[in-house]
Amino acid sequence: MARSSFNPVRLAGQLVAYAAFAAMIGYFAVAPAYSPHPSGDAVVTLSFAHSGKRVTECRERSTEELAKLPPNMRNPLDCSRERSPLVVRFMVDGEVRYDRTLQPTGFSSDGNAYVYDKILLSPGRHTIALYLNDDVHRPDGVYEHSAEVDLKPNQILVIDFNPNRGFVLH
Amino acid sequence: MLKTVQAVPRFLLEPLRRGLQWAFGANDNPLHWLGALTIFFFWVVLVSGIYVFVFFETSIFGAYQTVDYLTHEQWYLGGVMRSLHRYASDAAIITLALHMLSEFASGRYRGARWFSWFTGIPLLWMVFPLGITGYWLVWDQFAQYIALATSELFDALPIFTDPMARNFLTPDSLSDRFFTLLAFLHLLGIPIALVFGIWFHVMRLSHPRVNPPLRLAIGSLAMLLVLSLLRPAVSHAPADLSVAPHDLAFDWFYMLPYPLLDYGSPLLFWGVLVGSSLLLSLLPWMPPLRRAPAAVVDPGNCNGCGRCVADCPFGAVIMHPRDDGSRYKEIAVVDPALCTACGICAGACPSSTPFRSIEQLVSGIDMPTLPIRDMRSASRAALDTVQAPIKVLVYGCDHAIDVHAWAGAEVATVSLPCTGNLPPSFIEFALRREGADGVFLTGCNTGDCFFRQGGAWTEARIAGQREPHLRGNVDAQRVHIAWGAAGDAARVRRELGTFIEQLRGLENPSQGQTAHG
Repeated sequence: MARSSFNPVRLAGQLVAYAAFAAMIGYFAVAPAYSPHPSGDAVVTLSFAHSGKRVTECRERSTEELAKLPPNMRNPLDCSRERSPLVVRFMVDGEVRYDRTLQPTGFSSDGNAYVYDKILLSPGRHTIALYLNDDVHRPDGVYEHSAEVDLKPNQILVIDFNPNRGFVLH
Repeated sequence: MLKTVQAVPRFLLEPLRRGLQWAFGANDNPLHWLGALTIFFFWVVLVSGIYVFVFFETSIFGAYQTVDYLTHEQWYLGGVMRSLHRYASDAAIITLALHMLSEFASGRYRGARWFSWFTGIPLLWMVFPLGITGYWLVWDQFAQYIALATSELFDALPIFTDPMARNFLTPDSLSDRFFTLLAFLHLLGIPIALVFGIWFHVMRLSHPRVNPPLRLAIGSLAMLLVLSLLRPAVSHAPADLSVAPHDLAFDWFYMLPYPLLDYGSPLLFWGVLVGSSLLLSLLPWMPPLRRAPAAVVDPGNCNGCGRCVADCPFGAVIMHPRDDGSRYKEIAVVDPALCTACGICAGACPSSTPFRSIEQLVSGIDMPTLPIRDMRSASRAALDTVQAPIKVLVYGCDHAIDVHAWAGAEVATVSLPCTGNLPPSFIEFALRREGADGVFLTGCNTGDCFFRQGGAWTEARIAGQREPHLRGNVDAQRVHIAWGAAGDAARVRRELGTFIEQLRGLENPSQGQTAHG
């Protein structure tokens, strides 16, 4: 049966066991150090939400058509809900690093399209170029932006987009 | 195949178990209290967390400052509480992982015990988010990494249309309200879910062990306190959304899967986590699916005493009103789905006595694999093989030491599903009727009984503290209990040798001191 008599050697054994447990907690709670990406690289985060232009042009309703509608729904323009997909391209020093066509969200494809991607770059000077097409009727480009950036080690450069201001670098 | 896989952790854990048993003794061996220790660490986390929350401000700027204040300005209490909060959380992950490994290695997750294993898996999905949201709240660079990485993980799932990660790109996109939501999850939502989860986890167990022995609890708390004082938990630099977190002091206990995201993809992360959770959940039903038949009640011999109900470690027996004209009001009813076939109920039944002279010995509740009459026959047959001047009958347990290896000139052996399956009257029967000079009982280690309570109930029955008790006219010097796992065979065999030597010095069986006064 179990004995519980005091034994200094066994007590020392308990202390060793507790110390080993504590050492394991104390070490793995903070070490080894971890970097989510190669240490020193700058991170360019390309992220924005944008709604493309309508796929079909709005049509003006005739007076007769408006009269048939309930008073609260008499919108003079008849517009389809579907939006154009976004064509987004990101180039660094002439090399294409991101090139995707993003579909609008929603069952009727009438929501925003979302861009989110992280691109790792070595620190230093780079020429970046951005291109966004949000209109299926204008395949030759709508928004473009290029800039010289000097990236520091581990810097995060966020590239956002606003229809009024174009591409915005944070 | 599965047995081979189980053998690996068993082989790895055995030296640790033996070392800890030497230092702590069998009763306080931390490996026997892993589930209870995990819950204990959870209470430490809860109490220390409440203290930290008193000072915590759930805002972008206030979060870091208040935690930093506790760490540096109020290091003697707030800092210690913060460190306790962190280190107890980490300790819980270690004990939780060992708990799962130990239960898997010993096979205590199959058959009727599937429920506790199965309900333990969702607990993992609560414990890890609880720890991760805690780190998030500090809003240092580590939290910044967690915020963005976790958001990217959720964005990979078809849940949110607007990417959650966009909330953590620029200072303008941050919101205090997001911290309020996180604080709610960390302080209330997940802990409450976890408490309910733990309740589900143990609800099918009778006498669940949710608290470790006091000495072990005090020792563990002291260990965490010393660690907190020697190596206080500190924050990283404040979150800065213009700098990518790097060279992070990573808490690997909670963050171990995150490199799958950074160096793989969100789908790899979810695939590994969901896949391993499904695999773990299905383990109880993986072949070989052998299940011993459940205990059977014999209405003619059941007097409705309820001892089987009190002793069943898995709540598989309940009392039911009788309607068969018997003079007894209730009858025991076994739920086969819950019965693990340990036989502890048969050991508890007052009708399970070998002295009964009915034509065919039948107990009120019995095991189809080893009925009481077969146990009596096996005991007789084993003793008949021994012709030496000293005869010792060893009752062993199928889940501990293989006692049959000891059968020899002076030793007769019978192995039972559990020592709790042995009615104490069998000891008296062997000594008085069958010519045994001594009865030696061995089974799983104290606190580590395969069927949870078999060892404890056996000790209590023999000490006269639990019904059915060993009658007082049995010479205590002729009964010896030595618990031990398969790896303790040599030590227990030595105890058996010493016991046999003691028996040689005794006189007539009826002359000695009685078992319990």
